[in-house]
Amino acid sequence: MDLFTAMDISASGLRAQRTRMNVISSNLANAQTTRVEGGGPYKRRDVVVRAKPFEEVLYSVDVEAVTEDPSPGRRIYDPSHPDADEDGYVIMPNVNIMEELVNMINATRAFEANTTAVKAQMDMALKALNIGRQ
Amino acid sequence: MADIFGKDLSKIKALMDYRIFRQGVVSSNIVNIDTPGYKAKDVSFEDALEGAQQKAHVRLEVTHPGHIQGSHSEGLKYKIEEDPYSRIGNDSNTVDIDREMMKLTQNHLLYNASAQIVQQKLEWIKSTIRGIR
Repeated sequence: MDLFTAMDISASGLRAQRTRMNVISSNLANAQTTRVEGGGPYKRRDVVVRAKPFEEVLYSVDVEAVTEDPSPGRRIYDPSHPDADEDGYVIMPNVNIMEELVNMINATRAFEANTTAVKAQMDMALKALNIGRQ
Repeated sequence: MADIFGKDLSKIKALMDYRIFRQGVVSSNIVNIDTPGYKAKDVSFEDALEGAQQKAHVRLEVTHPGHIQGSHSEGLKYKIEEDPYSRIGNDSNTVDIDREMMKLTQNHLLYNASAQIVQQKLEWIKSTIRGIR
C-alpha cells in the first residue's frame, strides 16, 4: 500500500462518475426520442455501481452494468406526431429532465470530491519528495 | 541499535505509513459514495501504532556479530472497522461526504506535518555533522 494505491482507488471513482455523466447525457439527449432500434420510445438508462475489493482490505468502485429503466413512458396527446396511434396519443420516453439534472449535479459533485482526493494525495507525495532536499 | 537517526524517525515512519493507509481508506469511502449498501470505514490510530511498536521488536537474523541489526516495520496490520459516526442513507450506504472530506483534509495536513518533522530532524543532523558556523 502506497500513495499510488490511494490514487488508483480515486481514479476508479473518477471513471465511475464519468460513466454516470455519459449515461445522463444520453438520457437528456434522447428525452424526446420516440424511435429506437427494436421499436418503441427510448428507455432511460441507469448505472449500477459495485464496491470492488482492492488490495485485500480497501474498496475501489466498478461500473457493473448499465440497465434500462422499465417504467412506462408518458402518454401525451399529439395527433400530428408521426408516431401517434389511431387515437392521437404518443408514448414519450420515460425520461424526467429534472431527475436527470439532479443526478447530473450529484455526479459532478462526486467527481469533484474525487479530484480533491487526488490533489491531496499528490501534495502528500510531493511533501515526501521534499524530505532531504536542500 | 542506536544510530544517528535515533528512534523517533522510525516512529514517524510508522505514523506516515498509517496516514498513507488512512488516505486509501478515505478514498475508498469517497469513491463508493453511490454504491448501495456500502458501509463507511475508518482505521483507528491507537491500534495501528500499537501494531507498529510490536513489529518494531522484530530483528533481522545475523550470522556474524559484525552484521548490522536492522529493525523494520514492514507489513503493518491495521484494524479497519465501520465508521461509528457515519449516517445511514435510504440505500443503506453510510458514507457522509462532509465527514469524509474533513478526514481527507485532516489526514493530508497531519501527513505534511510529519514530513516536515522528518525534514527538520534531517536538517539538525546535517548541521551537527557540519558543525555550527
